[in-house]
Formats: sequence, structure tokens, C-alpha cells
Amino acid sequence: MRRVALVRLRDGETVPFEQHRVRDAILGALLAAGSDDRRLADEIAAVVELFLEKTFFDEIPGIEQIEDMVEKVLVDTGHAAAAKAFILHRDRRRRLREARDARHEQFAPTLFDNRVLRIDDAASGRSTPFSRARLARSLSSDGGVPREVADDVAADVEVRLRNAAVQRAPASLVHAITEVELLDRATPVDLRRRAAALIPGQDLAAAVYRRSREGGAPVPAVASRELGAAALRCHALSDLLPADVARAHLDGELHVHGLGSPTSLDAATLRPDDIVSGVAPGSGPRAPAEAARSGRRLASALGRATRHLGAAVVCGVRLRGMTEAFAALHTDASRDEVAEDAWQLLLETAADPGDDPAEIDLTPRGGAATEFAAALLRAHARRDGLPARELLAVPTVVLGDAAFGDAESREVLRLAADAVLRGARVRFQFERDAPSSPSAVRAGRITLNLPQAARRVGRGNVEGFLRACDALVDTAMAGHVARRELLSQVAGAPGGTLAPLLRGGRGRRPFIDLSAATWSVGITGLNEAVAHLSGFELHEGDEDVLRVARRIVSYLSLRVKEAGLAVDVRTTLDADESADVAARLFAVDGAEEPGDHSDAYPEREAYTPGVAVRETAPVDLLDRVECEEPLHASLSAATLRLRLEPEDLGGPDGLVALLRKLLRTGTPRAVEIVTW
Amino acid sequence: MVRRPPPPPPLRGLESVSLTAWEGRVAAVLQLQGCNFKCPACVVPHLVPQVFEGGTIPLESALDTLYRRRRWLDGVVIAGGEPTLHEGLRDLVRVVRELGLRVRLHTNGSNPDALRAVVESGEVSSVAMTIRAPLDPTYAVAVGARVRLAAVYESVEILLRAPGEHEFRVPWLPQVVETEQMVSVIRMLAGARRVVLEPAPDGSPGRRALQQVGRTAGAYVDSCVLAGRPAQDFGARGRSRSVPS
Repeated sequence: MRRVALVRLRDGETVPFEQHRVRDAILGALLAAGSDDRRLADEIAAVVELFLEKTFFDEIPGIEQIEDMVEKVLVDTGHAAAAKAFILHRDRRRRLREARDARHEQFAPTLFDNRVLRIDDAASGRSTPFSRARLARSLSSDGGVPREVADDVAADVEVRLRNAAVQRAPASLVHAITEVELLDRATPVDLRRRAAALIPGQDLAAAVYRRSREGGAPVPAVASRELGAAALRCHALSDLLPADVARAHLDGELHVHGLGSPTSLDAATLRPDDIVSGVAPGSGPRAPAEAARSGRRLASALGRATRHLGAAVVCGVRLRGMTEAFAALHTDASRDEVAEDAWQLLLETAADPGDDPAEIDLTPRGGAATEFAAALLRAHARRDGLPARELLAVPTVVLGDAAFGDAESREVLRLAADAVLRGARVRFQFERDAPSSPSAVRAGRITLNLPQAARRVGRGNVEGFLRACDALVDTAMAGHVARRELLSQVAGAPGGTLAPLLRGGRGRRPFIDLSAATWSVGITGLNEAVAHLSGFELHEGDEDVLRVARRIVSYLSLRVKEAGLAVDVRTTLDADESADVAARLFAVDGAEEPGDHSDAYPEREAYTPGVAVRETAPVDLLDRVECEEPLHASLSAATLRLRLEPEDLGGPDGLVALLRKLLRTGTPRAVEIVTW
Repeated sequence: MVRRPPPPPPLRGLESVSLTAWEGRVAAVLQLQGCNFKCPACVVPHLVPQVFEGGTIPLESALDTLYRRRRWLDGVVIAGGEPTLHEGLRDLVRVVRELGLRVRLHTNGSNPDALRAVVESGEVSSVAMTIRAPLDPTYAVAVGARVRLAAVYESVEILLRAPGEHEFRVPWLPQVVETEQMVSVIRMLAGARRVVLEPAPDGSPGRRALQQVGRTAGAYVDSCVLAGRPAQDFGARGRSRSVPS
């Protein structure tokens, strides 16, 4: 008698027959009936195999037939309870399968099968299911193709894609096949008017008419930059990044920053020393000597360097050590001269429309440094003759114990607090022990979508979530390595904005040492990830929920370091506080499972950025701080963002009191107060 | 006969963090039930009745919250209602002090004996007294009740003589206490260390009118500021210190 060697699965695929699977199923049924007799399970499995060999000697049995046989043998051998458990188990599995199939049917846009075919649209940076109806509609409305021809063409495009047996295809391929089909039918379509880089017409129009951030008329430069970024994003996702990284970005598993400018750095720091030593970009041969002589010239040189550097970084430039440098030049200066230099620095470092503003560190440590900090904050508040507030450099007040010491330093804090109350953006950075010296350059950043990973592994499965994060971190590292190679090529190639910064010149060291740059792995949506895993948001749960959050962050911190060491990349784990990224990942996940998403997040448009408690959570100020600050301990960069009513602050003194408490009692590194 | 200790004051509200109740400090606020005034502009009218049927916050629960928060807090503000109406006030102050927190008392000054007892015990770090009108018949209108004006004046004297921190709060009440009346109150407070001019709950009469009051009468006291604007000091001490704006 021939042994049963193969089994046919439900989808038609044939796999080898494994007797232990039959035995396990029988053992499961016996256990459910209260017996754990493994020998009995072996015997019944042997009987089942014997019957299978007799019944299916000339054909391959299917899964259902084997299950029927198990059921029959259990009943015939007098194990009615086990048979009942097995029948119930089969029924439950059947219903689950049906529910899953029903769920997938909503994505079934085809005549041929119900498998989802995904289209990667690199121009928009999204991946969406293929829709024949949408393609036909677009051909008909945008291309002027008659509707019946459009339907026919869309169906043929789908047939070709299905025949290619691919699960996903780039949008450019869909466009190309569509054009071929239209040409085959001699349909009159003006191909010369096809959009360059496959950017949809409505996106082009939106960019052209987009107004600048501060309102006013549309700015052509902003439109050009935006459309150029869309084309470069397309190129980066199609050609520059490894396929799995590009796919993960399109699927919203992670977010690769700076795709619209793939040969740029993420963030850079500029110090007055860079000007004086002549390594700063834009320094002429006489600039260092002049900058060392007067505050006005130093401000001018810093402005020039900021503009040069700003063209090569995505997130704006951070200017450090400003108060000390200007204080050294202001030993005998009058109050008016100090005010003039502060005004000049703000004017020179203002960003162009559409760019991110720079940041200026202010360290009120007494004397001329404090006077300069106060003058800059006053100029920032008055804005006499300066560009719009959104373009001005953001003051970052560095707070140590000295900041609360004398009356002048407290005055600086009051001015900063006043600016916050007026709605200006001011950051406060705490300096508790030694002055921190973060790396001068952050070369790239990739943010992990924690809620999506949590949803995939299911509720309560923290270990599974951490394994999923492992895979995401590895993908992010592959992206960083590819970007590093690209930047190395840029450093060696002539031309471009980055090359002079990486190469140096005229016997000077390069401004940027790429080997010392850090590569950031960001995390966002921790609140929602914890909610998926534990059932509670960060502010709702008890100590166990917070422990889960802390475990995730500390594990990722170690994992990111380990992954960086493996590929020789200096990595950091940061909280990605960008609301845009949180909104994009939320939208991608929502497109994937629209029903579940709208149920889980009614009236929401984004995940909670970074590692924060939900902004609208009903908790008071200190609960929020106590929830978030332990998480910051494992992160290289994170800002505690507190949103308050101006009335709750009770004037600048309330804010100063809060800052003093956060410095002396708390552990956060930076705080940003936002008023409603 | 053994005298029983007074019952703890009825605690009706606990604001676990406030940046406004004690300017320049992070504080929690305990609100006690019951007040002998019925001010038409009262912002906490639910605390006015002496007896409240709906129950109160257990003292242990409030103290537990304060204990957990003590590292974040600079102090605790005991407000009302009118805290000095309760015999157990001193015990409450003592318990809060035992948590290592400073105490500020908000009072309307109608009960000078209780105020003197608390101030002389040295356990209260700061007292804020609200004076709603000049000490004339206007006062009864401003507080909606009959008041012994001598008692209010005695409370002012107690605070002016006591060495600790004090603050007199003078609120604007449209058509009752306006510029002239506020100036009159500040003159009565001559020598006070700090006076805060408060707008009415609806924000009237605006910053400029209150600044005018400060400019007119601020020199009678050491420090005279508008609520929420401590940088602009119209008092004698503030005028000698020129703060560039």
C-alpha cells in the first residue's frame, strides 16, 4: 500500500504530509476533553493515517478530508467528547477564515481574484491598493478618453499586471502600460503633455498656488522647491534607497526623513569658533579676522554661514555659543550697541520662506552674556524691521542654576516667558551638570512607526512587538548605510552644496566630519503602541503600563546602539516630535484598515508624536511630566512639550517658577511651552 | 473635662497644581467650604454655603496627593470659602507643614482673632488678604453681606505688623470699586509690602485703567503690581529699580 505523502492545502498548494500535525490536532482535542494521554493520541493518529492510505491511495487528500477523517475516527473509537471538541475547533477556525476573507473582499477591485495589488506611488510617498475604477475614471476625466475605452484599457492594464504575478508595482509601470494600451487602440492622447516625474496634476497645481507659511501671496520659489523635492523623493524611493527600505517607507512601517533632498544632512550646528577659524561655509579670506573684531561683522559672517549651511541641511541650523562669543566683543559696548548686534544677528540668520528657521542658543550666565541674551529676546519680541516671526531664529534659552541667580538672569527668563505668553516659539534647555556637547551634525533620520508594529503583533504581545521593532531597526540601519554611501560619493564628486563642506579647502579642515556625524532612529506614536499592547494609553494606566512604555524605549535604545555598532554607524535613539510625520503615518495606517482605524481613533488625525502623553489627555501638568520624563532618560534627544492656557501660567513668574522646578526636581533635558 | 480637638475643616476642592495661586511658586490649592461673604463677583460661589450636603474630600486623600507631589510643589495655598471660619485651620496648617511644604493662607480678613492665631504661630509663610472696597458703606455692597469694618482693619494691621510675607489683593468691581475707590484702599494700606491690583472676572476695566491706578497710588506701598504682570512694579521699591522694557 502506498503511504500518503502529500496534502493539498485550501489554496490549492501541495505540501508534504506531516503525521505529527495530525497527532497534535488529536492531542489538542483530547486535552480539551480532559485527557492528556499522548500514547492514545499517537495510536489514533496511526489509525487516521491508515484510513487515509486506504481511502486516498490514488489521489492527494485535502485538508478538509483529513479533518473529516480525524473526526470520524474519534467518533468511531468512542472518544465522543474529544470529537465534539475537535468539531467545535474546526467550526471556530472556519468562521475565523470566513471573517478574514470577508474583510479582504473590500479590497477586491478585480474581476479575476481578490488578492490586493499594491501600487507604490513614489511621487506622493504612499502605497495604495490598485483600483481599476479609479484608473478608468482618471483616464476619462483627466485624459479625455471615452469612458467605455477607459474601462477597457483599465481592465487590460489589470490583466497585464496580474499576469506578471506581482503583488506590488510602481505607479510609473502602471502609467507606462496604460500608455501602451492607449497607443494600441490608436486613442488620440497627447503624450507630450504627460506630467514630468509622474507627479499628479492636482499636486502640481496645489504647489504652484501654495501660499507661504506666513500667509500672503503664493511664493514661486516655494513651489519650485516643493516640486523639486517631489521629483527627488521619487528618485530616492525608486533608485537610491534599498528596495526593502523604500517599501517600508511606502507602507508606513517607517518614515525616511529628507527624501526630497537626499544629498542633504538632517541637522547641523554652527559655532562662532567655526567662523574665527575660517572653516565655516561662506567665509572669505578676511572674514575670520573681521569677525573677531566687531559684533556686527560676526553677526554678518554667521548669517552668511547659516545661509550656506541651511542649503545643505533639512531641519535648519543650530547656532551654539552665541552669548559667550558676543559677550567677548561687548566688554565696553553700550546698551544700544549690544541691541544693534542682537538685531543684526536675528536679521542675518532669518530663514527664507519655506525653510525651517535656525535655532540660537542663549546662555544667561551673567555679565555681558546675559545682557546680549536679553537684547536678543527684546529684538525678537519687537521685530522692528525684521522678517515674520516664523522665519526668525528660535531662541533656545540654556538654563543652569545660574539662570535663576541674579536679577539680570531672571530678567532674561521673564523676557523669554513673556515671548511664550505672546505665542512665540522659545525652547528651554536644561544644563544640570556639565555643559552638554551633542554632535555637530546629524546626518540622517529614520522614524519607526510603533503603532503599526504593535497592531501587527496583537494585544499583550510585548515580546512579539520588540521582535517586530528589531526588524524595523535593521531596515532603518540599511537605509542609513545606503544614505552614508551616497553622502560619501557626494563628498568625492565635484560641485553640489555639500561637497565643499565635506572636503574642506585651502589647507583647512572640512567643516563636516562625516565619520563623526550621528544617524538618528526616531520613534513616534509610543502612546498608541502602548494602547495596542496593554489596552491603556500612557495617562490611563497604572505602573504596569508605564513599565511597558519604559521597557520599549530602553530596549530600543540598546537595540539601536547595537545595530549601529554592527554596521559601524554612530546611532542615537530620539523621539520624533514632528506632527507631520505622525500625521502621515496615521494616514497610511488608516488607508490600510479604514474601519478599525476610525473606530480606534474617532476624530483624530495623527498619532501622538514622539513619546508623549496624548495632547488632549485629561491629566494635569505634573502627571504629564511624571509620565513622560522617565522615558526621556533612554533617548538622546527629546523635548517635553507642555501645552497650557495663558491664564493657567499666571504671567511670566508662573512660567519661571515651573522652569525652576523642572530644572531642580525633574530630569527632562529640554522643554517647550506652547500656549493655546 | 477633656476638650476634644476641633473637627478638620470641610475640604471641598483640591487643585493639585497651580502656577497662579502663589505667584512665582508651584503650589497646590486646598479649598475649604463656607464663607461669610456673598460677593457678587465671587468666582467660587459653590464654596459659599456653610454646609454642603454633597460631601467633602477626605483629608487623608488630599494629604496623600500632596505627599506624592511634594517634590514638585513649593507650597500649599489654603483658600476658601473663608478658611479662618474653621476651628481646625491651625491643625490643617500644621499637618501640611509636616509634609515639608510651605503654606499660604487666602483670607478676607473678617476674622482677625483666627488670623492672628495663625500668623503668630509662625506656621504660615504667606498670607494673601483680599480687600474688596474702602472701609465705608461700599464694603457691604462689594461683599454682599454685613461686615464689621473694624475687624477688617484689625486684620490689615496684623498683617502689616507681622514679619512674614503678605499680599493685599484689591479687585475691581464695575460701578462699585473703580479707580477712585481702589486708590483709597491702597492709601489705607500705606506701608504694605505688596499690593496686587486685580481686574474683575470679566477682565474689565482693562490693563490701562489698572496701570493708571498703580501710577496714582502705587508709591504708598513697597510693591504694587497688576495680577499676572509682576515685571511692571508701580510701588516705591519698583520705581527705584529701573527695569528696561
